[in-house]
Amino acid sequence: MGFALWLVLFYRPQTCFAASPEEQFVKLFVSKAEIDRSSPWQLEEVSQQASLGVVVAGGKILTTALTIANGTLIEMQVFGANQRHEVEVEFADFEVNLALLRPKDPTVALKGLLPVVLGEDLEIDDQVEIFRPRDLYQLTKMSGSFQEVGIYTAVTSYYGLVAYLFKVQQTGLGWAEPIMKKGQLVALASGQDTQFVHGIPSDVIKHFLSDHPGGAYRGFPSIGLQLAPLIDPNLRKLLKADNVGNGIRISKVFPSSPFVGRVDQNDVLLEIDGFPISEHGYFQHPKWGKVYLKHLVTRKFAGDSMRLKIQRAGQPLEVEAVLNRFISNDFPVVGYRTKQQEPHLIFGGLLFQELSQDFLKQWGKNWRSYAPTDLVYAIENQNEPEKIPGRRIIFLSKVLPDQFNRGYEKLKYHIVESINDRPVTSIQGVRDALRFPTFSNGQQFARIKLILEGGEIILSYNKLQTAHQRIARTYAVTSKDSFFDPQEATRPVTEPNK
Amino acid sequence: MGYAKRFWSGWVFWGLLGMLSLIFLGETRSEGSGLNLARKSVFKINVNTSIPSFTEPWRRQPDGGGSGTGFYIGQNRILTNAHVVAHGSYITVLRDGDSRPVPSVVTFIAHDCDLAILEPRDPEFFRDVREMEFGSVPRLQSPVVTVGFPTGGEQLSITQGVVSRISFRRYVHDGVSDHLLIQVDSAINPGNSGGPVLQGGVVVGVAFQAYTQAENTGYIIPTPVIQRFLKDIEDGVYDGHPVDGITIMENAMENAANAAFLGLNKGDGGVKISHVARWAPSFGILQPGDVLLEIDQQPIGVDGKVTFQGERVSFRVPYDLKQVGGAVEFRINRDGVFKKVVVSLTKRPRFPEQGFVFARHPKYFVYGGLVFTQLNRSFLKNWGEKWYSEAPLNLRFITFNWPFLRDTENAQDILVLAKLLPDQINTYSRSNVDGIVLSVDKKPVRSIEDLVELLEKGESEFAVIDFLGSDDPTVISRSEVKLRGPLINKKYGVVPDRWLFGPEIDGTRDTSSSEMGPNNKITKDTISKDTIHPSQPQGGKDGI
Repeated sequence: MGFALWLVLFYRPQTCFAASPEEQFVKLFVSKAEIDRSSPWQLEEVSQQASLGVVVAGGKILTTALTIANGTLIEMQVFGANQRHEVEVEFADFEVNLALLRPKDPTVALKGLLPVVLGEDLEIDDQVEIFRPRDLYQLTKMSGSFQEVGIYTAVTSYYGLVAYLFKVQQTGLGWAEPIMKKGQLVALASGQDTQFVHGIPSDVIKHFLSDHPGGAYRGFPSIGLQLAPLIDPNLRKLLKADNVGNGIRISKVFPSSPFVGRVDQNDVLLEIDGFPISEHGYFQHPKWGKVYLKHLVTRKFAGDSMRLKIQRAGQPLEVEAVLNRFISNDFPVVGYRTKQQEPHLIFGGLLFQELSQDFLKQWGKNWRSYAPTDLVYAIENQNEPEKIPGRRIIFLSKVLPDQFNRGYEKLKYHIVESINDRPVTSIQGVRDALRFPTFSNGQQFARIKLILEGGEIILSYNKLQTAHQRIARTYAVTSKDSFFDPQEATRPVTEPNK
Repeated sequence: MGYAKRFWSGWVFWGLLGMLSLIFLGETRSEGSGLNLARKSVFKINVNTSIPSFTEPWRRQPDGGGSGTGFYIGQNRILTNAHVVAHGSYITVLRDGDSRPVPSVVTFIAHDCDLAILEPRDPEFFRDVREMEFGSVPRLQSPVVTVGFPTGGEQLSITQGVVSRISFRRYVHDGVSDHLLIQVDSAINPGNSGGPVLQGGVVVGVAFQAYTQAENTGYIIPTPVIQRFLKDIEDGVYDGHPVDGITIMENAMENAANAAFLGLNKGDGGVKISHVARWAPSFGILQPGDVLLEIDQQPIGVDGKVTFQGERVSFRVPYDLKQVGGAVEFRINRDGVFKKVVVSLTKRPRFPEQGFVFARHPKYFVYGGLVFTQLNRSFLKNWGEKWYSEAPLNLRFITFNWPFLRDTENAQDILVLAKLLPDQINTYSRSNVDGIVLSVDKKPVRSIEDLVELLEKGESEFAVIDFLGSDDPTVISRSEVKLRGPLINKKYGVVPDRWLFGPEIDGTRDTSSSEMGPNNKITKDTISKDTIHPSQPQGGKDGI
């Protein structure tokens, strides 16, 4: 009923009369308290960001997922109005950086607003209008021209999908500004690289919106293959692919791929769903020309099937599989954290965390150069989706100096191999491993083995509770859950002094 | 030139006459006579250099040059720094007040401890020159005098300072070796390098490097290191400092839990081993988890220090000052059991050189226009002083971690595809430039000899070269390389097409140089963003 009512309220054919941008877009105010990645029991200073939302059918507001990530209070304001209204996140897909918001009181909040109409795929050189707020009353319109499409990783995930590139004169764009053509939404700005604004195309937005109603969101899929250009004639001969002029090499089949057992490393991928694939991995798009094959995947829904034509050792093969949903957080290094959480555990002042991109981004834009080499290497080289997701890379991020951990104060950024001889692949795994102390000379110890040259840390369980209380006071760690509870150890911790 | 520019910030020049007054006021008569001796026994060394390119190793960089200081130690020998004469193509020495430079040759060079012996070709050069004598390690806070030919004038310069610290730390000349050194608060400037540092008329050190981020922080090589070097070369061959290959977990034993775990007493001290390299003399004798409690009967503190000539220094110092062929006794605790073990300090086996290369050429091999060479500091400097953040991730990671990785722990060379010499047969091989070679035709490459043999003697038509962290191999046709390889080499002036030898040094008979490699692993902690540079020969030489 609700859906139908909103259709009545908001639907107004474009042909009747055009709505003004101020009637279709709202200003969003998002208060954020990001987690402090280096002291994950506390939050960063509160900040507030302003952004734009687009009114879409159903009484919802569309914006980027980045806009609302870690938001503590999200409010909207209609241009020209004085009142702010609280909105909630109805649904967000961080893989594609899109979010749908719902005003708490839509009848008041959206009064007088009109939903945008989603446009069709652009053609190269199309002229567009980009809107951003001038003040609380009106929008500024800028012009841009559509130059090309590319495959880019969404800023909130590892997922690569097609993005429009618009040439503009202005800077400071890329914060969910609506991009319109002839009164229709053709893209939502998601970033800016010098003079090019990146936009999430209407095609992706339609995919997101059409998937959402009904509750069971299927999501965007992946084929789970790593591909490498096959331009080297020597390699082509070696793979017996010199009899065909196209096709890209499958350089790795991830264990999570639906094509495991159907395709192998060094197979040559010739076609996807009938589209011939070039040696660089492009197919011919009717409007945009050469587009990377990933676009053929992202247009599908998880659960759809896909047909591949491959060539193995000179022999053609056709294979088909049902695509899985791509989930960045199935990777060992978490792609994004959507809520104020950073899994961690403190044992005797040693702070263990799960390695994430967010943690390394503390080193700034060039974190790949300046963050600790071993951690960056782990992200770049040991971060592939696994058959059974959930494995994380655990590292000792720092030591909160205390008499209990003296001698170890300088340890930081070491990846942990095992604790008490148990491999650890999650913070829960750290907690579990710590429940089984190592016994030596009649006492309980934690043996924490670090990879590479790190060596082995030995800490006692004796007086651990007292140490935790002291550390909690000294470093203002207010969350009890941040600490390993010595009561969880398999035997009662003896406190000889008591 | 980069070094020289940075070096100038904040350095202080004291004029010769003024300095002499200060010294004579503050020092004993014997110091005065020592300085008079120094005037005759200290020489200016001028060096022309020819340094290889490290990305196209058959080529030379533009000629350079500089100057430093040396002093007479008897038997027609001048002692100076290795970095003064490294890559020297033509070297002369000049007496103070003389106008006639005398050509000289390097007879020994020790890049690991930055010392070298120079012999003038003119036997008359040392007439009326008395050899300088060596003293012991100076006390903290005691005054010392640095004598040399720093930039800013032609005459001998003498500056005074005070001994402020004795420690075991990085010698920046080869970039990876740590030894005993003394910090003084007198400025050591370009040109001072190799000059004697005197106390009571005897030499207590050789000026060699300075800390450029702080004022008046100079470093000198103390006499135990000098005397170890002189003893080492007595048999006519420089063997170098013994390598240890032991990584410790610093200060771990400070935590009482470690001692309790092993059943040690609180006062037992010691340091805990976290890794023993496969090439270490102690490999198979020591193991991770062992606690080193004593070295040659000297107790090792939880800070890893022992008492050495009245000062607390790293336990590695007594180890480092031994000669190859000697032995070290450790008292250890392993799994709660105390024992003594003896480590024979054998000549180091071959393992990848991490430091700067001072050879005639770095090792390299050009195959079908693919240029393979060694990964080391000289190569990494292609990314500048901040290579530790600017170089490709794989190169940085392997530089820090090769001894700990299964693929590389047994390596004799870490080889990198440095560049392509463009030709039709390698047009599509560009994706692996700066990649670390792991295997050829799935057979592991552990040395440059392996690489040459696997590429040249492989029988399949295509050589498939795999690289660390890459699923994209380089494939090259062996028959095409046979046909076009010589043409490519001719086109790009590659002569010779390979250099598989260890460091060949500067026309001397020494066979060591950086082949001696590191005493200790490069760790992230030792890569300081601050800068310690060898006291640059006046005029500056790039790449040292």
